[in-house]
Amino acid sequence: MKKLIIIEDEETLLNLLEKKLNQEGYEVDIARDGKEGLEKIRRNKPDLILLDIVMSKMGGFEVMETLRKDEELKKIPIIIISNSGQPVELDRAKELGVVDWLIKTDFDPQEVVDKVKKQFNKELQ
Amino acid sequence: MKENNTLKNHQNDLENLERYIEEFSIFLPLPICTASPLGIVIDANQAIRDLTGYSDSEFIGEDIEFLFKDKKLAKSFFDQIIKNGLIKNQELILVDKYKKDIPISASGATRKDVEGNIVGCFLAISDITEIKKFQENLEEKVEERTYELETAKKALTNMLEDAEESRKRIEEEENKTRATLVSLTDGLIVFDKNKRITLVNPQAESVLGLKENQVLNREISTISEFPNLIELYRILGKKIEWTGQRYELIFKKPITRYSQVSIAPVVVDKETIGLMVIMHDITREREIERLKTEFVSIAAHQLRTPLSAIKWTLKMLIDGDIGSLTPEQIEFLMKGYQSNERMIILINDLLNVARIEEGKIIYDLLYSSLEKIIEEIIDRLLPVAKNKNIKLIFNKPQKPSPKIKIDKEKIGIVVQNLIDNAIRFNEVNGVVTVSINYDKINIEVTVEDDGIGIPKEQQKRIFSKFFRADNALKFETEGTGLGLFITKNIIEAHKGKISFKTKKGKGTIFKFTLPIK
Repeated sequence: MKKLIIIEDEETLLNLLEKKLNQEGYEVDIARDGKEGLEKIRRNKPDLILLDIVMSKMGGFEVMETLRKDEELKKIPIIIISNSGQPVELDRAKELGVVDWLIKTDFDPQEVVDKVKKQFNKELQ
Repeated sequence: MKENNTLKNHQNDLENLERYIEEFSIFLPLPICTASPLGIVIDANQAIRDLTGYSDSEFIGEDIEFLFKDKKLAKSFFDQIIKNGLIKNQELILVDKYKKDIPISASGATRKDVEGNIVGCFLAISDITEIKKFQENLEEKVEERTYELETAKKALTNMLEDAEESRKRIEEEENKTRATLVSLTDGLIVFDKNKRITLVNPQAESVLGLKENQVLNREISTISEFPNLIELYRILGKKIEWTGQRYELIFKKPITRYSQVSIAPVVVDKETIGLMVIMHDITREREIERLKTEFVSIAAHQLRTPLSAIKWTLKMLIDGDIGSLTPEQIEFLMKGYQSNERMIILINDLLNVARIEEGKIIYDLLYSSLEKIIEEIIDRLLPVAKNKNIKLIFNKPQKPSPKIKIDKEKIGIVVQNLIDNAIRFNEVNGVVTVSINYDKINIEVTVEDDGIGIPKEQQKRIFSKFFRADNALKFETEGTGLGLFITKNIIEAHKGKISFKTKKGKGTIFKFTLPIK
């Protein structure tokens, strides 16, 4: 069973996505800020990270920069789920090895699930 | 006999002498006469007859005064001769036989016998008509010349006064110009033809951190003590030339300031007399721009977050992920979902407008297939078309169009806006046709509807920000009025073109072209 973690500080979105992904049969871990997220990543070594950018305690970029320094953890694919998304941010995210960037208002939970599935399929190939 | 002979000889001599004198006096061109001590004319020569016109009989035996106009003066002149023995060059007016006045100069000397008694006097007269005329002429000329000189002097004085006045005027103008330049809010440095600094206004002084008198009449290349001036010169490419270009300058000290620098010629009476460097402070604009970007970013995030929470919640409820609902419940939730979607579209539009205004609308250029983008959008819009029973037709070219380098997401927005408009501003049971055509240079996409059309008087403004046609407002109350503004800007940012043909009540065709290379 694939393991993934959602790091998102908006409780509603977090809960909805967790439920949806659970229903899809994934083992879902959740964190409400970057710091908690990093701890859980280190502990559980997920197969995929769904990461928000703007969070109160440690933002998404800081999480990515920390992960990048770890030889093992930097291999975990990251999908950004965020509502900001200015060109500067996208460029920086690309440099940090992000595989996809989803604007939350433009996607619904089903589409997020589709992206996750697509990512795992890619890995299989 | 001897005595007789001697007498005869003497007599002969005397006669000879008399003849000699007579001939001499006839020959002499100078008018001469002799008078008795009482002033009676005794003798006169030919020249005097020629001058006066009188014959001897009319002349001899008369008082000498009768010849002259001023008898009293003539008498006194004659008395003076008798008294002094010699008077030279007395000017008198002689009146000739024909009553003509002749200006003369008379000189007289007494004649004396052996004992020294005065026996009469000689009077010599010279006609000074010519001299007088000449004198008068001369006087006239002198007068004339004096007048001329005076006129010239006056003119010269006037000219000097004028020159003084214009000098004052120029000075005034200069002062005025200077005052204007000094009070200008833009920094200004004026260079003369030799590229020397002739003016630095206070604004420029403050920005550059120097005083005018420290750099006056110096060439900018030789100035090394003012870092900001050196920086300005560096930004201008180490030359002061009118290129029409604008440069951007950032001064770090004393505080960070942004300036837009341009060079313009200083033209006086159609002649370029120098160049001026204008520094327009754009610090405030920069700050506003930065704040705007920041605001947009915050707005994007903060507004989108609750909207996505609503969207996701409703979507999962509608999809039955949380449990099954009655059709009526789903219908209400659908309405809520759609309203939320409108809000999301509005915010996305506003963000896109903000990006257009920052000049950052295009982000990710990748080789993409227009067919694929259009198909995706049509798929997304099919349910909307179905609601109005509108037929959506896509005419693909027989051979797929070449992939072109575009921002896929932004071109998607263009296609979405055009097809969405074509559906929304169409009647129930209408038709919307999307076509792709291409040649070697361009790919052309047309979106045709048979809807309400655009009123003629509003056609010019349909690409303006927040513009919505009157009939569009009546027809469809939704919409931000930003769609076509964004569409046009995206196409133009791709170096493409967009246009439309429309007939009110008949429909509209929008066409955009994108360059293949």
